[in-house]
Amino acid sequence: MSHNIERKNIRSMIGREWLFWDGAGGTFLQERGLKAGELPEMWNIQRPEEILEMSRSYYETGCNIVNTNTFGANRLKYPDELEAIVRSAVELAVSARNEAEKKTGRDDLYVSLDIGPTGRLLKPLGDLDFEEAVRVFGEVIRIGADAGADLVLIETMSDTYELKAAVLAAKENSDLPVCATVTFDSGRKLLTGADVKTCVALLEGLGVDALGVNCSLGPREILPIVRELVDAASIPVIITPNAGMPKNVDGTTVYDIGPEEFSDLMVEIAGMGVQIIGGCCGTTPEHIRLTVEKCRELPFKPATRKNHTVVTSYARAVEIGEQALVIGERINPTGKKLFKEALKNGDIPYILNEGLKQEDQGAHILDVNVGLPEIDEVAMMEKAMTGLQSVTALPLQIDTADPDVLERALRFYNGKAMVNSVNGKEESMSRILPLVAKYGGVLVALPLDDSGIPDTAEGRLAVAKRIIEEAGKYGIDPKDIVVDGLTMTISADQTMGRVTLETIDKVRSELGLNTILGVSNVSFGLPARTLINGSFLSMAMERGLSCAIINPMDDVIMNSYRASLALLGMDENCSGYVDAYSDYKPPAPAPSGQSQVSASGGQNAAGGQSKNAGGQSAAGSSRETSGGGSMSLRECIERGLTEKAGQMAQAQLESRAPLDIINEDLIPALDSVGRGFESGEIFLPQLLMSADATNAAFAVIKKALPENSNASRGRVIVATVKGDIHDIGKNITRVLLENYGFEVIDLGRDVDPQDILDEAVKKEIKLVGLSALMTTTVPAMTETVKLLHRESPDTKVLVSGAVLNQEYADMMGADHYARDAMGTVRYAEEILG
Amino acid sequence: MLPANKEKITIDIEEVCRYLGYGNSRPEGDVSIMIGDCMDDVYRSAQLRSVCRRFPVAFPAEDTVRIGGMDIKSSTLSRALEGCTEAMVFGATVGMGIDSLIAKATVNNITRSAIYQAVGAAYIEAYCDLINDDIDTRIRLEGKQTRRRFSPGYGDFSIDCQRGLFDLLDLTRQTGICLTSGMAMTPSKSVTAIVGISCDGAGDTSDSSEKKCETCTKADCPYRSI
Repeated sequence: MSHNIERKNIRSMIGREWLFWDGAGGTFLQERGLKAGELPEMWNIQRPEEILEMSRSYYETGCNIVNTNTFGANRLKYPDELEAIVRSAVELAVSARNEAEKKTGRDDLYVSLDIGPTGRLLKPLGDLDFEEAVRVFGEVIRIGADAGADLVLIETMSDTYELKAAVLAAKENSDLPVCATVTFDSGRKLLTGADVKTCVALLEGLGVDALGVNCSLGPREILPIVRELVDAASIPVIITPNAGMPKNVDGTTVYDIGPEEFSDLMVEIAGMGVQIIGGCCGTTPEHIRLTVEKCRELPFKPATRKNHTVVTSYARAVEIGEQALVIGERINPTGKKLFKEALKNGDIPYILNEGLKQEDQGAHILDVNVGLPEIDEVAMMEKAMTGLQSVTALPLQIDTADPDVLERALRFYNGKAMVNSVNGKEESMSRILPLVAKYGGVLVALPLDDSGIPDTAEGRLAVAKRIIEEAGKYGIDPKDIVVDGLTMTISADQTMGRVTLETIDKVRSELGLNTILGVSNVSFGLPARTLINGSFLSMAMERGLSCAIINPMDDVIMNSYRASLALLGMDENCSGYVDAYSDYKPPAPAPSGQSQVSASGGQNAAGGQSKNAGGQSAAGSSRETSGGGSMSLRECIERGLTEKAGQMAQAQLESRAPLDIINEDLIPALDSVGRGFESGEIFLPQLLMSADATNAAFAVIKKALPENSNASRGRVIVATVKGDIHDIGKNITRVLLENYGFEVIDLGRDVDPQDILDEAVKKEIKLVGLSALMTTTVPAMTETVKLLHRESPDTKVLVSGAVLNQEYADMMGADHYARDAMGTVRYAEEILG
Repeated sequence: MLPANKEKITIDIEEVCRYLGYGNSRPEGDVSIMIGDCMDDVYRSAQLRSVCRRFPVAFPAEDTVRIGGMDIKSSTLSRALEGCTEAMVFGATVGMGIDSLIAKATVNNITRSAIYQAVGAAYIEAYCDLINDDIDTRIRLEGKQTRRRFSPGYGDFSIDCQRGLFDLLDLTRQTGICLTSGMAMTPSKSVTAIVGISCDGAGDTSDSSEKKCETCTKADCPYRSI
């Protein structure tokens, strides 16, 4: 260093003393002539003197950290000049910083590499691949770190998934401290739905050095968010608001809070337990100068550790420990014929439906186990999790015995996952703990080790302590460990129920940690298992159980759960209980001589029926007003009565063969509705209600079909073409094709032509249906049609979608144009019979 | 981003029915109830965000419009902005919640998924109407007139122009709205639009769907209202 300043290590500053960030870059450059729509990062090369001046001006305010002019610098926006843009930005800021050091003698001035969003939303909501996003950010961070940045600021993020990609990229491509700030709207949510607690849990799990909020709102409107952040975060908090709320004056966005007022409000914010402050849109060097001047001498309060155990999805945080939570156990192939079949066939919608049903019945977290020897578990876990995260905001528990599956799942999971599980064996700890340390997560610890499962609570506690100690070495906070009480089968040893309950008790009282149980194992080998399970759950909850892994579809166990919450004072005003049972009907008395409980102990055995706990029914229409009392199955389908259709199909199965019901009732009913639609007598929603009703009937009938029976009329691939993310038309078509007995391979949206061809060739597909909504994706559709015709000449290609017509279809050489979903069904019938 | 008041926006049920293919008929019974339920869900899940900026307009060549520093080659847009000296450009979204509703319903209730789609489309239109009204009111106070709003995809105004409009508005930073490589916006219920401003009162200021459809070349569109 030419000017002999021994700069303080920034890590020793973050969270230990006040740090002040700079203000807006865009506002500064606009005043110097940057036009709307002009890319500001180009100025690093074209007008470096202005960028240098900006950095100088901010260092002169007395702040510590100045951002590089790299907010939008990434390969997606600057495919050719990226390196020069980033390098120049960092060098200009470093040069201004060195000047300021010389001038002031300060040893606490830093250059922050500024990282903004890519501008593309990640899959599955958008079209940018997660790993591609990590690469895009990683490239900028490597260049910036190499050019001399002191830390990384990831800012203005509106999506947790992109945020996670950026943080991972920063950590994997540099050793620099990483700070991350997000942008909330006035509803205190990110664009993709995360609230404050969700963001805090995710970022702390990923191990950032400081976190906070930028942009979004003015210093006044941001106060409630500051309060929430400070209450939730255990690490330093950064607040950099806009200079007020934007106002549209003569069509231009202006911010209405001047430097005096801004800095006064920042004094208030500084007093709330924040450690790092600065400004965003609309703030000027004067805003920052006054802020530094007024806040510098205020008493500094470091962040305090919060004892919250939180798991999250992309949009929802669930705190463990306040009241016992339900972890839905149904996404698991063990002992489930249909689930195993779905896994083998890659039937993701089946898995998603299992998730949604559990959510509707009151699950708080979903366990996801897709392990089956004959499938690629890594790929299936990725598909199942991505699928689940696109339809439910419930946090997921990754349940796998394979550390490679866990690693991949933790990496692409959008949120802070629950991890099932680690145990006290050296091999398990050395594989699992580093993964949780890197990606974050709440870890289920099984207190067993190489010598087996201890048969006393004390023995289990000792193993749990060892796991906690070992986890501590990796920096995993004990609050992120939930100890499993280890449910054992009481039919084998009748003392085991008690040992498990004592373990729960001791973990709670002696370790102060949360607990979890897979409840149903306790009743293995006994009749009416659900009765034992329900009572065991109540006892465990009384001992302080935090998480119960159970089947939320089992009314008996959910009855015990809700009753226990009410009895233990975990259900304010008993309102959850009242909501669930206000219409409770006790089970009808059994005829004398018969047991009231079915021997299998299956669901609904002795419980009476509760109302749906979680809102609308999963598969049914919201309300079926039209009754359907004495209707036939055929009429139920024609009128679109989903729930009734399922019940009728079940009843019919007692006297008729499954295939007869399909051929004599389902298909004719569908045909009549389909014809009505084609002739314009009935409309799309009615057609779809019939489709939903058919699905419900099919689901019931399918269970009764003999294994390996083939009711399929043939296989069809459907896909939305490359570049297009609109899939409603394709989804409607899929449902109708399935209704008509075709087996549908749904390749999803934004599908590469080669992937469609590969699948068509591999599975010898005779018909491929392609969908596109946008004119920009018609070339991709044409390319797909041509590729299929060239490489798989026996495959017919049908095209459909809002921008198409017969003429376009002819021009691209498609075999058929379908105006709507019914049109596709008719063509499939023609081709496949 | 500009704050917006959800309560001010009313979804036009006729639009919803039109998107669902009802033409001149109206749904009854279960369908009608389900549409009502879906509208409630959409209202609840909406997160409104928008940004609006004013730019000078020029016509540097035939069939070319210059807005801010952006040149757009489009004869339909040129005609629509003829005589304008300025334009308001805005971007708006009703948020990701509607996309989540659609995705979830796709798994377990395809009927609802189609209805959410239609309600979402009507909702973003209604939100744009609100923004448009606000622009209109302010411009009239200046003694000027506004033109019917125009979006990429209308006529020969290519949707490839989205990228330029995003940069003009700094839209991703201000609202979180993103563009895919195929120029689709996420959240899906998002709109960018240009509202021309003229001093002379000439030009077309009406905003009926008949007029919107008039400029569109897709003559066999099932939703066409003329």
